[in-house]
Amino acid sequence: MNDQSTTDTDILIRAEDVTKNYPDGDVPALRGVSLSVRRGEYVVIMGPSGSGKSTLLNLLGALDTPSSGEVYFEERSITSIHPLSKLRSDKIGFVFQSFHLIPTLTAVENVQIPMFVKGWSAHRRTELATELIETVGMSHRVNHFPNKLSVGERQRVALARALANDPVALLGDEPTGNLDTKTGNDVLDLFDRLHKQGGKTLVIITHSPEVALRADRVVHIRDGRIERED
Amino acid sequence: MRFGSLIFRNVLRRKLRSSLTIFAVAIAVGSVVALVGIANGFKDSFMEFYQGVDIDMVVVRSGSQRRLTSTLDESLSTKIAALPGVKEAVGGLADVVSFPDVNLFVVPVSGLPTDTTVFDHFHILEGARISDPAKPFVMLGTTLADTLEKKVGQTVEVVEEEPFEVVAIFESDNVLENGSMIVSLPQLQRIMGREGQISGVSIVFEDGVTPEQTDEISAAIHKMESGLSARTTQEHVESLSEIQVAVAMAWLTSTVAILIGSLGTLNTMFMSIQERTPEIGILKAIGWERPRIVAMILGESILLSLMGGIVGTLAAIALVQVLTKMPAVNGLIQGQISGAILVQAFVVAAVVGLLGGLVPAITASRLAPTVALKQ
Repeated sequence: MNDQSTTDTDILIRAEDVTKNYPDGDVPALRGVSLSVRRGEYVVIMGPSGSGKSTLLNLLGALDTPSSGEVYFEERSITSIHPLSKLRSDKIGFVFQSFHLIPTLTAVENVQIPMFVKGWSAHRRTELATELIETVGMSHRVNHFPNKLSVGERQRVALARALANDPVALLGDEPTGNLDTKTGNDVLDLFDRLHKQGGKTLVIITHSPEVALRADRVVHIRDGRIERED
Repeated sequence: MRFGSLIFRNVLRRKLRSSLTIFAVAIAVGSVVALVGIANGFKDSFMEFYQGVDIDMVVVRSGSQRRLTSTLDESLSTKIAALPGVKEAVGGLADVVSFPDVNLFVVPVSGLPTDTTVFDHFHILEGARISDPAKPFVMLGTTLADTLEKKVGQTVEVVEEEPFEVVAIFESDNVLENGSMIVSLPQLQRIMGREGQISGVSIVFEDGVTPEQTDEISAAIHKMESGLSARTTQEHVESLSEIQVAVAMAWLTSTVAILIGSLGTLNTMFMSIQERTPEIGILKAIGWERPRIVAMILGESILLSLMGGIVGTLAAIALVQVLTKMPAVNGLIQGQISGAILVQAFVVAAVVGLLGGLVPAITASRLAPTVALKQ
């Protein structure tokens, strides 16, 4: 455990003065960012391209480690957690702009992929995945392959996959970036429902002001620093 | 869905590429099954040849490059026959002849004393065994007789302008013998210009000879003359340079094929993970640990290899069957592929899969999720 003076049981993820330098990058992607996300909070990160918002999301989601500073998840420094994959599998769900579904697997099979690490039986995996497919309103497309689904439907399946292991936090990197307005709003409605009814903590990157309107808090980032919070 | 189904679907994703990889592995495994199988079958034929007539020990010239045609003095067999524990010592001359007109180039011909019990194990199908060693009589194995289209009473030119009358057609449990011919020892010595010579002595022990007595017999033979090799049947067959070369060549060729198969699998798996980099990134993002990613990629390469193993084994069995029916082979090889060879084939397939898949699997497992997802 880390410095207990900063402990707040409501805080789920906390970045403390983090920087990130990439070996091939001319300038630091992040230059000392501190940000706390409370349990059950809906946070949107906005900023221009190259501002460092994806890098910050990767650090908050334990996909990467900072060059300096610390990221805490449930007040444990992510650099002290081994393997980090276990934290991601147990606590965090990711949704990306490009859905990255496996083309040879049906919708329900794609949702089962994260469940393999749990050691559940094939029957239990299928049952849970079918329930999750229903949750995202795709029960009529359970056995369809990704190439037979619309982009909105693919993102719904990707969202169901993110929910596979019942994570406390859902992190989205422009999850509506490839969707038209109506389809995007449908997906955002789903996020809202998961936040309000399911109690999920949401951290979403977006360029869309409409998405920002749905959030509890909007963090603006520019040139690797937090510019302001609304 | 099970983990195995995921592996299977991934292999099926690129059907043409997977098929070509399976083909490359099939060549590797097929080489092992066919070449090593044939070489071992060749060895088994020799082993059966000696065991079929209850031969316990074989004496040949040691250090001879080709022991099948080593040269000894004919009187040696009489000396050996006098040793305690020896029931019978048969001095024989072995050589090979060819019949180019019918595409037969390696036909073993044995010159044997006509009064030996070795003749007893031949099942005479037609005619009668050679009775007069002074006459140019020949007994043909059934496969050879079929190929030469000869019957009892007809003549065969064992070597050019040396007609021999076919007095019998025989069958043996041993494929090697079925493709061979037998003449009397004096007749073979005459036509080969090797009067007074034999190539080896086959020894039959009396019943109840112990390993210690075997050693004593061997030591006594070595004392008779320098440069003799007296070995038990098994040792003799395994030390035959022809068989050693055949087995070594079979493995050498197979090793080259295995390397090609492994490189094919390696190439396929590297291409596969390059195409699927973002997908591997997402697997890592959603919490798949490194060993699971290694298991998936290795599973795919081993599955490809095992499929190649099945195809290669079936093709090799078919090829060997076809070969055994070709006249040029003349019964020199057996058509059966032993279980041990099949086990070796599938071990080879698994090794090819492991070799071809390990580096790509480790590479994939080391991909940073953020880097993989960016591609």
